[in-house]
Amino acid sequence: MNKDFIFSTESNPTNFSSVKDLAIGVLFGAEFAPQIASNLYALGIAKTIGRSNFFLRYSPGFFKEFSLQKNQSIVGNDSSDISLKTDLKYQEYFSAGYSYKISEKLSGGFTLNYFNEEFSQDAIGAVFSDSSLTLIRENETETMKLWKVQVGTDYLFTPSLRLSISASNFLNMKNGSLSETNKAFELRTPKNLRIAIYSEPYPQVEMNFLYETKKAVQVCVGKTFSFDKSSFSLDANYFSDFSLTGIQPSATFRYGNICASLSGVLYFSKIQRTASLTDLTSSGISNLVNNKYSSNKAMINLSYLINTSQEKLVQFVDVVVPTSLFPTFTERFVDEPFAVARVVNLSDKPVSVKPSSKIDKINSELIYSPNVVVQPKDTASIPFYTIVSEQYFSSRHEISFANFYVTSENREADDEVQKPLLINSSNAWDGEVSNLRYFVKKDFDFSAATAKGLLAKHKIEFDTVTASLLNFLQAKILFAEIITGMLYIADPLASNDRVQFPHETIDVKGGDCDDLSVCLASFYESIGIETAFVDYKTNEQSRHVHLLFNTNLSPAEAGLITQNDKKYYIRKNSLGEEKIWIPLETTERSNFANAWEKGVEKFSNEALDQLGLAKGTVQIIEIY
Amino acid sequence: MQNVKQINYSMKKYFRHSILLLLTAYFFGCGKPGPTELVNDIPNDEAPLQIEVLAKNPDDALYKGAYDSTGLLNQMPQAETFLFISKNVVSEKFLSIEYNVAQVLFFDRDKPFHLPDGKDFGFLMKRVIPPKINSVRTKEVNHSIQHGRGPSVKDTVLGPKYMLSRTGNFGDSLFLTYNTQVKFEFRKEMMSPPIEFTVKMPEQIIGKVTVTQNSNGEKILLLEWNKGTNDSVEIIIGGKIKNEKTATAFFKLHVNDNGQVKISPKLMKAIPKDRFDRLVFSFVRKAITRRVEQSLEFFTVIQNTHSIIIDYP
Repeated sequence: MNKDFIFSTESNPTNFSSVKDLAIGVLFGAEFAPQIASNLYALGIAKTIGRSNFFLRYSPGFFKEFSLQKNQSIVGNDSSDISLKTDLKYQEYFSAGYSYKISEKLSGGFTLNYFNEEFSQDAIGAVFSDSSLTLIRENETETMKLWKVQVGTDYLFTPSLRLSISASNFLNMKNGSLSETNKAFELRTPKNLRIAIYSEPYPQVEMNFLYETKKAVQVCVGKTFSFDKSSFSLDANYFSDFSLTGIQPSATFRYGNICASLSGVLYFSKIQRTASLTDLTSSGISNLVNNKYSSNKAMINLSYLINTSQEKLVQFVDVVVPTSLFPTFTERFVDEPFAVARVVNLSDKPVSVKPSSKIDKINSELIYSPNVVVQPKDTASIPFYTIVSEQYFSSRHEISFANFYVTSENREADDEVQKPLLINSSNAWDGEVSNLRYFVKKDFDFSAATAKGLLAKHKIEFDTVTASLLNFLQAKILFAEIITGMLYIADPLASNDRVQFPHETIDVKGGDCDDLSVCLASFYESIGIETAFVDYKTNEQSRHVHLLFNTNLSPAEAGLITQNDKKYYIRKNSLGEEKIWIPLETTERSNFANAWEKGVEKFSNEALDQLGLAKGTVQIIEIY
Repeated sequence: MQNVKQINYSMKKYFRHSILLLLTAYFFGCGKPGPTELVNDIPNDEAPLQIEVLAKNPDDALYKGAYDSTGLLNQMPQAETFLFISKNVVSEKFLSIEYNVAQVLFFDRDKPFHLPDGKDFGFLMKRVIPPKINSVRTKEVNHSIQHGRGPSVKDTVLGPKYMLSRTGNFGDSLFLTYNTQVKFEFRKEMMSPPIEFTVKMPEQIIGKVTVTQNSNGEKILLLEWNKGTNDSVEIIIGGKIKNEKTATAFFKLHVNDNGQVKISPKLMKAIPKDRFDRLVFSFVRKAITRRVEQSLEFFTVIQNTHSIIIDYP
């Protein structure tokens, strides 16, 4: 609709506007008369302020002129023949429109067109003096100023069906007086009611129908092809007032804010190169651009839309956010969306939506998630991802807000939503053993440094042991250095809610099963010993976790650490090689052997004998 | 700060585009379609008309004396011989007077005559054997003109001319009848063979002058006459000078012989009422011919006129 806003007062007497902010346009025309003439037709500007839209157009090209050579002439002093003539000039200087959006569906408006009619008739005059008598050609000019008023209303049944009703020439104002002779040439302004239906029966297919009580009809069909940042549309407008019939095809290309339209007017009726005076005085003309004396024409319309207040193309339907957020689960946020929104495309074209979010106290800047293309008028689910800094730490729960944004082609977000969010303390844990891995990784630097320091004291033992026993020996030493002597300390809150980071466990010299398992796993992993958690879910009231670690020994080398084949567990690594894994009950803090023994006992009993692994009540969870 | 920079950049971009649009409008906006030609197909809307000034200097005696209701004016034709025959009716209020005149002028092409202001007037006349009109011998009289203004008015005799005239029942035996032939006879020398030919008097013209008003309430003069078979008629508009018997011819209108013409108010208003208390409208239906007889070129005008004198409306 923006493409022809400059024709607003002709095609849109109610000044119904889809200009979001400001539009300027220029219209050139070329008329294929016997001599092709091109000129500037009009310059227009439209501005929307709040619910009001204003339109102003200067139209130097909207004029029509007639010239009548009279059969009368003056013989001049030099015997030359001076012919007399009559000139009729009709000009629409400018037009203005105003409309007000009463509600989302109803709007009303009016347009004013200012015409100047100038009729000049040559007459024979004479100048009589004492010494001479001279004939002169005198010009008698009469003018009439006309304000043509059109008023009407528009109702949007749906975004793709609009009814427009308007009346014109009921309130016209005139200024000037004309002689009887010139009254016959006056611009005709018959009272007229206009009913128009603008519809989009199929996506991007436009069909309009218009009827006027002065017996004129128009039918317009158009199709728009949308691309990423541009669109191309083809329209054909058939018009007829039963004496003048024609078609106006047009092709419109829009890229960003610039819109260019090439259109033509092709009349089916026979074009009258000369006008009959009888016909003109009896019928007159009511339209300066389209009348039975008009020639076929081509027009170029350039429009520029300035959207300082941008068009909203997409909008949130809802956003589903978790009740709380565990900030230590950093890598999980990268892989899994922390929130999912449903977004609707309000426009008539596919829109690429750029989602972004920012969680207060967590993010210092917007975090962008992958773009999602939403089809016209369609709704799509859009995942939101976030990033929590490794350095983030908070010892207490906090209430925060998550801000969600969806941005289309605009510079600013089309829509935004804010949701409250509980940010758990950094030690908070959701009870899922698989999520303990985040606590393991959090203190890697600390664990690595500490482990290396502890192992350095046992250098002699490493020098004398078989290389294949290196993992086993390191695990044994670290257990003795870290776990032995620790206290078993239950969580201060609910048992499943809090997990200590390894350095905290070292500091407080104790912890519960998950604290101790996390701490030991962190030390092991930091020096390259693979670990896994064993999650015992047999009792819903109190679940238990202990550790498995990879000795990196092959089954054939099992004899180096035990003759009891029930004290180890064989697992395949990523290369398909079988390795011996040993269970460790970290709450058994007396020594490594007892912890191993206790671990074997629990693992054999619940995971193997009671078929816990098969039933799923016991689960082995890799740290990596 | 970044936002302010972005806005400034955007505004500059919009401004550039706007300037580009306006420049494009300026350079391509030239040459507008011409007017559509109107063809006057309204019957009797406006009679074809050509108008010329006769009395370029109305105060000059040359023009005052030239219009003597015969329609004979001082502008002489470019021919060796001028034969002029006119049957005239002059009407004023309820009175009409008829008079006929015929005169023949032989120009001496070796003797041009210039007015005192240096303008060419014509040639002096030469004396010949008096010709006959309808077998009646013409009388030789002096052809004189007046020219100059005020106290410097001069009479100049251009030479002899040969004429017959009859007013009412008085004067020469010049009887002219509408639509009949008038015979002309002339001998260059006594013993030379005669030059004889006839010219036909046109059909009668009867004029009528009516004062009406246009839609703007201005007075216009409607001049009507009986339609004839000629292509055109001439209407001479003159004014009677107060306290003088002579009339001055102002304008000559050439109009189609269709019986009617309107005189625009502007034209009438131009004639000063304080100097001319009566207007003269002479309807002239004439036939003009050129012929060469015995190496002598004749320019012949035979006409009938109806002059109507009215008070200045």
